[in-house]
Amino acid sequence: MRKYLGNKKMVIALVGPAMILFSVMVLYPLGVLIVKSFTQWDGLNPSVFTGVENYIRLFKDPVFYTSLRNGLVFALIQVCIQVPIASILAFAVMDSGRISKKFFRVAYFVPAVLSITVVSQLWLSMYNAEYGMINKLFSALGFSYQQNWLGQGESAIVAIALVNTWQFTGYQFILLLSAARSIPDHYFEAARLDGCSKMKAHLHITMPLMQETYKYCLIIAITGGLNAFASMHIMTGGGPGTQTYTLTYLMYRSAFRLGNYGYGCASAVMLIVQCMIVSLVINRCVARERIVY
Amino acid sequence: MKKFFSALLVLAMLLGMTACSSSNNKPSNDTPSEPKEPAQESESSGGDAAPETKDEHEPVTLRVYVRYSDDDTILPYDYAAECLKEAMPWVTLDLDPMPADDAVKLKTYAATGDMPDIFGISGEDTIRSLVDAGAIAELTDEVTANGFLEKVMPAAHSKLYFGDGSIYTLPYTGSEVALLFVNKTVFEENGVAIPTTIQEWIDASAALSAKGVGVLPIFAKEQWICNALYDAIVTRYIPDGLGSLHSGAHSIREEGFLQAAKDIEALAAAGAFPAGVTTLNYEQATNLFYNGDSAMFFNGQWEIASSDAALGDAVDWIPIPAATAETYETSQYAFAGGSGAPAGLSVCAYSENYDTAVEVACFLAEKYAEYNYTKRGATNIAVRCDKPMEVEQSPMNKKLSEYLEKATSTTVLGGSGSNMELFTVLGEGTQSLLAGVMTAEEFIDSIALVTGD
Repeated sequence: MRKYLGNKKMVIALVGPAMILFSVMVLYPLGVLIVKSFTQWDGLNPSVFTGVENYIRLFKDPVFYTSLRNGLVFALIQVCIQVPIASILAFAVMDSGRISKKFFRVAYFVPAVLSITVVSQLWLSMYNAEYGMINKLFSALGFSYQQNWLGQGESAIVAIALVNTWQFTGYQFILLLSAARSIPDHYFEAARLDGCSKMKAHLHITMPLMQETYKYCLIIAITGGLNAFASMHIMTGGGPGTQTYTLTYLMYRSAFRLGNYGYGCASAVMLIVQCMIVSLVINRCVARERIVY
Repeated sequence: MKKFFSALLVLAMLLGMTACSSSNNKPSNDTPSEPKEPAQESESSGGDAAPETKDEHEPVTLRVYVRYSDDDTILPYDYAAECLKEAMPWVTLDLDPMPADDAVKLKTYAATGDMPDIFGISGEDTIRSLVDAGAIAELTDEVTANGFLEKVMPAAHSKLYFGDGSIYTLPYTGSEVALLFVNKTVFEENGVAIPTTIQEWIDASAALSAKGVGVLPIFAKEQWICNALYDAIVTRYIPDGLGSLHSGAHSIREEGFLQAAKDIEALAAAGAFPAGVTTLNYEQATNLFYNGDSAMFFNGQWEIASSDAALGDAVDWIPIPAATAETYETSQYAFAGGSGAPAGLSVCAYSENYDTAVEVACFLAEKYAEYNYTKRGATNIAVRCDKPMEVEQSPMNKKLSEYLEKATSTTVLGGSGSNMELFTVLGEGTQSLLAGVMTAEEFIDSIALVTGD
């Protein structure tokens, strides 16, 4: 290893292209974004430096707080539902027979490969307050409970988050299943010989050994929730009013509807900061020590 | 083999880089190129141009970026393009359909120097951005010289002149008004009278709703129609409507704005709007009305043709119900809509075929209007048409023409204006009112945050 790292030319040759690409595709736009967030800019003409005005406005904007709250609700639902369900499905498939394993592996992943537009339209019709399947189901079962799922602020963001959760649980499931299958069989054999049940084996062997994967799953679930945009854009257009806005939606509204790109960039910076904090906290708290098996 | 693949990869990368490089001829931001002088040969506007042969002119291809998505936009464009083939056979139009994207694509074209020669545009903010970027041509001299200006109907002047009096847009549609359509059969069958006052409207909504009949399936997923409905009700109290907020002539704290918000609140509470109204799109809303499942519909006057075709004699439009029975006679001629903000066809300031582009833009604007007048029987056209109407005017159109002659006031349809932020916040607020997630007082407060009242 030391021999390889000592060869500086080789290190530069190997790392250089990736670094250049990363700089051009990530660091440079990020730098521009931060600079533009301190300006008044219409996206077309030269920007005018306005200092921290955009940030002051942002912190006074009630839509910013609605967006922040919705992002957190969205992320929380993703984490609380997606990761546990994906884990249960992964363990169930892991323990199932060969044919059913193949079938369920594909079946659970299907929603993840569907277009978000298709999924949103499908759920839009299911959520329809007057003739949607969910309310009709309640009626058919004899319940008088009817809900205007996407028409009320509180239920709308939860309803959209559940759609996203349904769609991408399969993705988390595949990640967890792959990680679970990479654990050597002799751990489970030893546990079985000691009389350990499957449930206990998963709780005390599979899950602790998969903490690196769980860390990754948590990060994508939370940042995915904070970044959410497409589902609400298709299903509610951010409405009613601004009730289903997230920071990404606020950014879109500022830049593309109001033509205020500077303000949009400030919202984007806040979103990046939020995601970075979450990633840092998860990295600090989850799977701090690497497990090698 | 490895060398072969390496060479292939390098080639692919080079090709990719070549494809990504821009070959446009956009002038730099610092030195926007000046529009060229009007062409000597374009003395008259396209509409009157005598057909000329291809041989006398170099072939010209113009990229045209306009809406081309439904009958309302496809048919007039196809008609105009067909007429152009006869009048200016050396010109080929390369259509680039415009999406409904708040001019994002157009701004991207301007930013990358890839502007179409002719493009549709609306909204003062967008026009101002393109003016500052040197991407849109000022056409005042050209349209004066070629006679187009004289043909623009006085009612369309608000769509022609920008705030500073310059002309950047050639209007091709008139300023349309918002109408409240009613299915008379649904009202008759349910024994409910067609409302003339807002209180009657609320009562009728409650009565129809109690019988399980839909009342007003507004396509509130689009915020502009929520604004238009609010604007229409505001005109019952303040005839200038929402436009007066943009100009600063009225304050959002005035009683009329609050009362109009309360009226929408009361309508929502009476069951006037379907559950989940804010997720209802145009197709769903029109289906509910055209299938006879709902008693009313609210949209611009362009809905006349479709509703006529779907419902025949059963459909009619009524003036927006008055604030009180006493004000009905006077307020029925106060229209929501009917005035416009600058909108229409524009020409790229640095088009390679600038003169031809101006001539063709004028021609297209004229032919759009000609199509709407001759083939559709529309009377509120933007450009004068000397040809006779080929279709019989529908009773609803006739009635509208009679009412418009007596119009006492008009507003900008949808409440748009110079302040894009105000327009957006109004849309969000009115949508919240319809959904019942905001009270009238909260709505007024949210608007006051933007207007500073």
